[in-house]
Amino acid sequence: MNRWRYLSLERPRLGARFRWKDRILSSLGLALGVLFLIVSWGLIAPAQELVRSKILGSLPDRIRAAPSKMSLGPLAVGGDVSESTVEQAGEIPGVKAVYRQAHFPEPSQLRARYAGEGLLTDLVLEMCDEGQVAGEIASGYEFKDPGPGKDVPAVVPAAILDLVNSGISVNTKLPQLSSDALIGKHFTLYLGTSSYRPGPYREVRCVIVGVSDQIGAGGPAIPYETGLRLTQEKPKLHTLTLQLDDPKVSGQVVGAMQTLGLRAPRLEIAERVDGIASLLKVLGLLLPGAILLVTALGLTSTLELQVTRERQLIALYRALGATPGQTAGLYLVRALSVALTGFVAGVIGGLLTGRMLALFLESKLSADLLGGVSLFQPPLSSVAIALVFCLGVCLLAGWIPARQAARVEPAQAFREPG
Amino acid sequence: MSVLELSSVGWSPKSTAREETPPVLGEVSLRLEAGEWLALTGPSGSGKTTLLSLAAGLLKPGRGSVVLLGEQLGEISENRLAELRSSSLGLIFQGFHLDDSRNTGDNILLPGYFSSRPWFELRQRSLDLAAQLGLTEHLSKSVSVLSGGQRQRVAVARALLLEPKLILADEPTGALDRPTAQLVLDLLEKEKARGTAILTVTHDPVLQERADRILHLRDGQLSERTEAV
Repeated sequence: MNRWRYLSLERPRLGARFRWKDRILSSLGLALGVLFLIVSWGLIAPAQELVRSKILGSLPDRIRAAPSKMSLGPLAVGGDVSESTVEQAGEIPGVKAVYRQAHFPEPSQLRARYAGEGLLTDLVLEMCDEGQVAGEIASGYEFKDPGPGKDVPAVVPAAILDLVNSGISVNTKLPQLSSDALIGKHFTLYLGTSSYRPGPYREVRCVIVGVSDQIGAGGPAIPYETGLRLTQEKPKLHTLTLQLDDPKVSGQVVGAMQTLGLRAPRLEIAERVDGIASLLKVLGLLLPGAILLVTALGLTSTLELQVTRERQLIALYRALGATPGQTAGLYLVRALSVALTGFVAGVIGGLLTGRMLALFLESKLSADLLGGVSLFQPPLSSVAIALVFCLGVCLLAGWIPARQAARVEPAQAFREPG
Repeated sequence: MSVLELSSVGWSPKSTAREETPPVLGEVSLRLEAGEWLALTGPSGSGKTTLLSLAAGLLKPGRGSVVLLGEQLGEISENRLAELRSSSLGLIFQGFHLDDSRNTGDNILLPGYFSSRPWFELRQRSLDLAAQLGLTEHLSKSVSVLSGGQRQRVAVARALLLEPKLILADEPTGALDRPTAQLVLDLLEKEKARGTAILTVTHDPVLQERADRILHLRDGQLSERTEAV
């Protein structure tokens, strides 16, 4: 304990040579670097998770598989999956069930009224197995073929709600939509016609029974068997959803899928998102790194100036029994105090700035799109990295002045003008 | 064993290419025993302060040797030298060299920051010294607002804090009025009685009267006076 008593000479106090104002000014650059690191990493991490969840869906035990390299989930335009591939996919170890998703093979239109607004639009009608959307069907409803003459159950893609609620929809007059508000609402399908291929059509009345993030953004989905019943043409089976026994085996399942000519486009996109996020994190490190480097140079100059100004004090300490190492230690401690001041100010500033930015962004985006996720979640690693950066930079910055202080010749310094 | 022994010590400032500088100290030898008080006199520029700096290890002799408590200062490490200064030396500078950013109490305690002695003991000792030197009411004041005499007393108290074996004092009563100078000299006398060796540079005849021996330094050469000036 006594060995380190001399370090308390550097404790901040009223009238000290190195005042709080000097500390704060010296640590401004550090604080800025730390602030940038915490804000950037705090925003990147939840944004990455949000985008991933939108791409992969909310169910982690499912893999979407598509045959074509040109496909993008439900928007695939080429390549069909054969029934034999469906069977083989079901035999992959770790796969519990396989659900089909196909485009209804005829042109279709949707007519609906909602909140006083009329809507008539061409659409890509999807048909899928019940298991695909199980768990997302509202209570009291089911997603099965009801048989002729009855309302057909339909599931609306969650992405449509996100688009409408974000104001990106073509029909911008629609109010904010929610899952609960849509359940039980009806719309009418005109099968066999569209604005670009008009023709005779059959009307089918549908009831919305759920909102799902498992069917892509193409359009509403009806039960697979209902789709088969409503057309004579062969549907285009474009996507399979593989339900896994355990999400951990997804890597092995994706490998086995490739032997069947199937890919996991959503996983690939998610990996690209991860790559971009990693790149952004590196950029989020480089800029603060550059700021900290410039700060270190400034701090070195500041401390060198202080050593020059305090030569007589250093000489006094040496004359009173300070070792060269203790003298150097005082200036290293001073550099460290700047580091800690900058770190604390940067963390507080970063948390406040990040939170304010997130609140601003959250106010501009719909709650459904965010799914209750906060857009600012600084990882502990960013705080730890900031601390290591600050301490490292300040030790480096303090090293040269500390050596200068250790080399002060007391007798010579005493003779200099005070 | 002598507390301090200088043997044929000489010192010159570094000569430049243009100018050859004459030696400040020629060939000086002296011994100082425990409990002995030695006064050093001499005209300005005769090398008195240089001699004190050599004795404190703040300067390295150009030739000869300085032995402090049995250790030759030129041969020990900087860390050992620092330890010796902390444990055995009390320095009173002519210019006081106080830390103007600190208060009186902190300035008296300054050597304690580099010592391993218990802090509470040092605090008590600093309070006692402040009381003996009439500084108690100034303990919380910044030394920058003290008078010259008060500043000198702070410097004296600081030098005595760690109960040194050797006190090197450069004009310790130079800024003091007669009664206060007597106070300081009484305090030094007490230290001497405790076995402390004292080497003072002084022009003060009252101080010279208290000294056991008086040495006179002129043109870098030391001679002993048998009577006070």
